[in-house]
Amino acid sequence: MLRRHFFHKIPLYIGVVITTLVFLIPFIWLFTSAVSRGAGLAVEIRDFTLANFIDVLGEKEITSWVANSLIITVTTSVLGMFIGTMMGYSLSRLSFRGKRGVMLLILLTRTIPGVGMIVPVYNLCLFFGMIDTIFGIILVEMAFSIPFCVWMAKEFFDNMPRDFEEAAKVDGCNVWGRFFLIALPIMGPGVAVITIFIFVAVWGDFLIPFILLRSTTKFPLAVGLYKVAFLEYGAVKYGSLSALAILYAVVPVIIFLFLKKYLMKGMAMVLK
Amino acid sequence: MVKIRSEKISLFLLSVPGIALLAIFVLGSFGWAICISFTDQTLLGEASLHTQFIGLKNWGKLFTDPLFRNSLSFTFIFTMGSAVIGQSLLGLALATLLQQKFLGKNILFVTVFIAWVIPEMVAAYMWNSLFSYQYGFLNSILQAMGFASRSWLFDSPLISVIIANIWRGTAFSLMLMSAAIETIPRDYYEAAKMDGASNWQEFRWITLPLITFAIILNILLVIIQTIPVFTLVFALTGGGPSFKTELASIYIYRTSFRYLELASGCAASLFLTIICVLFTSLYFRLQRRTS
Repeated sequence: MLRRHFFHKIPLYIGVVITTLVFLIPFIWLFTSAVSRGAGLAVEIRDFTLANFIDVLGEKEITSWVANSLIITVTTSVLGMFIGTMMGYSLSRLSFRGKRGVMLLILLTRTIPGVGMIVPVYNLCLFFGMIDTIFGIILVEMAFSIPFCVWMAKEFFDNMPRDFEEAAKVDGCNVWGRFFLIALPIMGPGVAVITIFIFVAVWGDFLIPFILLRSTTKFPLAVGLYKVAFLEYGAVKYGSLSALAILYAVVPVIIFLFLKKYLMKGMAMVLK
Repeated sequence: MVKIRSEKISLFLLSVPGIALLAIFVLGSFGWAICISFTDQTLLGEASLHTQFIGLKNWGKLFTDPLFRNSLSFTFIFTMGSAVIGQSLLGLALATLLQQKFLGKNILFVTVFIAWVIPEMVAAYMWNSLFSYQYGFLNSILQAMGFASRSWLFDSPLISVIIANIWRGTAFSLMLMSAAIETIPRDYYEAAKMDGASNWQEFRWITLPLITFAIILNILLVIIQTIPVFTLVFALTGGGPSFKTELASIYIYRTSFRYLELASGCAASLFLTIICVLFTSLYFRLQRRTS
């Protein structure tokens, strides 16, 4: 019985192994080249070393990219979270005519593609003198992540019991106090998820900084990696490039592997 | 009475920073794009200082530009190939597969998932080296199997970027499809097992009919995400060779920031945005019908 069961599963295993390999191959190359001295394009570990990682982190230009990425993403996600949840809270607690329309508009802006907006946004930044400034990148990234944040926050606040807020209101607590001291802390885990979503999206974004920045020293990692991997001629140092790519990619990977469970729940909500 | 009003005002004040950002950067630039698309604005030269109103000329020029029409058809092929056929089908297949218990199930899921989570530029970097002509891994596999090497990004650039994008995006469909399949009551399958149904029959007569709607919604979502794909294709091919992979998104980039014709670029971006908005509203309409 057991044996028949096993033979039955052979096609299944062949399919599983092949798909897993196909999806794994790029990563296998990335890792083998990152730990090889004088790595090339072949999938092989040649002369194992961790020097590539050390080399990459020793380069001044690259450490400045890491710093820029961190500054941009952390500022955007924290400020964006506050601005977005504040707006979500106010939309959840206020009732006015045309609220449905406003929510629909916010949802629509959420799906407007970056490439569709980048040309006028560039123009706007030119007008405000924000081309080639990290401040400009932060503002634009924030504006683009707020619709998602507002929408999520409003859903959360709509479903939150209001007893505590009512009690605080009776005790004379004003709106700001109720938001920052009661609603936001109760929403804690939800707020964390929102912040992390913004973080990962901004961390990976290439288009906005690529268009709005000029000087190499201000690049975040996405644009920096593009520059060293695609724009430089001559001998390509695959070892250190792969090490840089791994260091860059590992941040969202770690975050998401921790959040896998919550993410699946969120996906189920999308379908509802 | 006064109290209620002041309460409303302070509630409204909470949303002021958000409204300001949205008004300036989203609505503002959208309005600006509409205005500019009727002018001859460029980034350099005479027209950058003395911008003139030229009516519908940009729009006319846009739709007679063979490169723009090409870019639209490339975007169409790219979206059909990588989103509708590739990611949705593969995502559904993998989701069905992952319902079963087997060794290494988690490895498969996590690998597909990580491909979706990493920054787009890292995916582009990896695929660029896999596609490489001389020592690239794909070609060494081809050679080991006795085939001739091919120059992936030159001979079949569109197929190559489609493959790369399927690899990158399948996890999204996989997660949506898994979530949909998990809503089906388990007893249906048990009943089918009793009646001696095969795996395929179970899929064909239970799973498929019950998640048809979820599949349609998933396809729409993936289309909405795939139409504006820029980074992956731009890094891999830059739109080349000789415009063969110039998607509409890359066309917008080239006209605006390489040829510096902001006005034409704005018209093209508006057109792309309208297409995305149409798909989005179709999605909302369908979604509301279910709930």
